[in-house]
Amino acid sequence: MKAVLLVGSPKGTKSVSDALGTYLNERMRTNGAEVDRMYLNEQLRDQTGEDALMAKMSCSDIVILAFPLYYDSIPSKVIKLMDLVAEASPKWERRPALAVIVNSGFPEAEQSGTALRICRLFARDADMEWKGGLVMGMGMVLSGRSIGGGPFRHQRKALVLAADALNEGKAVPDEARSMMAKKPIMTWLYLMAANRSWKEQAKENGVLGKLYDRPYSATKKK
Amino acid sequence: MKALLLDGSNGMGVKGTKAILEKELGSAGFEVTVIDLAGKEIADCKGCFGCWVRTPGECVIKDDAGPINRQLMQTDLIVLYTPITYGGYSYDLKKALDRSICRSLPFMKKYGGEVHHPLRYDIEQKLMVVGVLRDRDDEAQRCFTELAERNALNMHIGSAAVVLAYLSEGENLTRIAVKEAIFKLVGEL
Repeated sequence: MKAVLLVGSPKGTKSVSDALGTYLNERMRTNGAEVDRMYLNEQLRDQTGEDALMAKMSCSDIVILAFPLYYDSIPSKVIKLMDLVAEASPKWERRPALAVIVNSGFPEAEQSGTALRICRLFARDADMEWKGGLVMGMGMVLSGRSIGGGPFRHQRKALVLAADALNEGKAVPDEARSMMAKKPIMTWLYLMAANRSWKEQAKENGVLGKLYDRPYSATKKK
Repeated sequence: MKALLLDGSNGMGVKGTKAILEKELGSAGFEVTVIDLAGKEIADCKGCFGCWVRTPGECVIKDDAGPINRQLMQTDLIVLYTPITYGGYSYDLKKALDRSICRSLPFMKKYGGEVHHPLRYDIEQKLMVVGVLRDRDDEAQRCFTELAERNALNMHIGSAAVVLAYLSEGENLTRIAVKEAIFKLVGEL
């Protein structure tokens, strides 16, 4: 089994997408799969990168696509990847299967449902076998942390279950999806911490008093 | 009333769909501005949240997204025009939208049981999302409509309409769909 993880977050190695995808990837490696990892931010900079990306995908058995939710769907760079695949894949001798991992800052994992559906439609249009996906909310809790510790036991179990299934050529199990979507911490605590974090960042940048600025209108700021 | 049409079609569409949109919106009393996104220099979002905690309300990347965001915040009706791409938006349109999260505040708040970012501005806007397909495709249509509805929710837009146009069908059906959408929006003004 040859698997390639594609990280669709512009934050690359520092992203939640990378943390989640790599955990799954490493479990697949433990299971005997040959795994690789690429970052869309790097690969989609030029033709050489794009060609390498297409070459890697075309010789893989499965592609794991990990990305953050952007505007209720997939980031623009991931659409660019999909467009490239749509153009290149008719020449491929075989098509890899596709599984995805979506994370968002919203507590409700369901808010990423449309992004998952878009990926399934992409798999349909690109003639790639759809293996399903995992969706995680409260991504900010994991930001800058290791998934190996902390309140992420449900997510760790989900990624292990998914990796084991994908290694056997199966789809992501329902149990894995349910576990991944479980909230790592309580919503009220998450909102309190997240909202405080934004203020702290603004303060560090010297713009706490400008948080509510409205540069594009003549309305008085709140 | 102002309408801003973000054209993410890159030339693809029912012949004259954009012309139909412009004409019908004009007839309904809108002053229409069209932005062809294919000709604009818009970088992909870096995900840095600089528009929230470094230069609040403005993206840190200086390109064509800034002026587009200004227009987005000063229009009454936002029209998103795109080929339906895997059930979602085209790369050009999505880039522009990704770069417009400065319209929201960073904080998260519960609205009707679901968490969203509050809007930065005190404005009421309408949204029309126009998707083009070669042929009817139930799954893609459902996904696209769901995406438009989710966007309206997160953009705090109370009145939204979705138009689906098909390359394999004539302009008349598109015209009827556009008129119905405008009626739905204008009727609620």
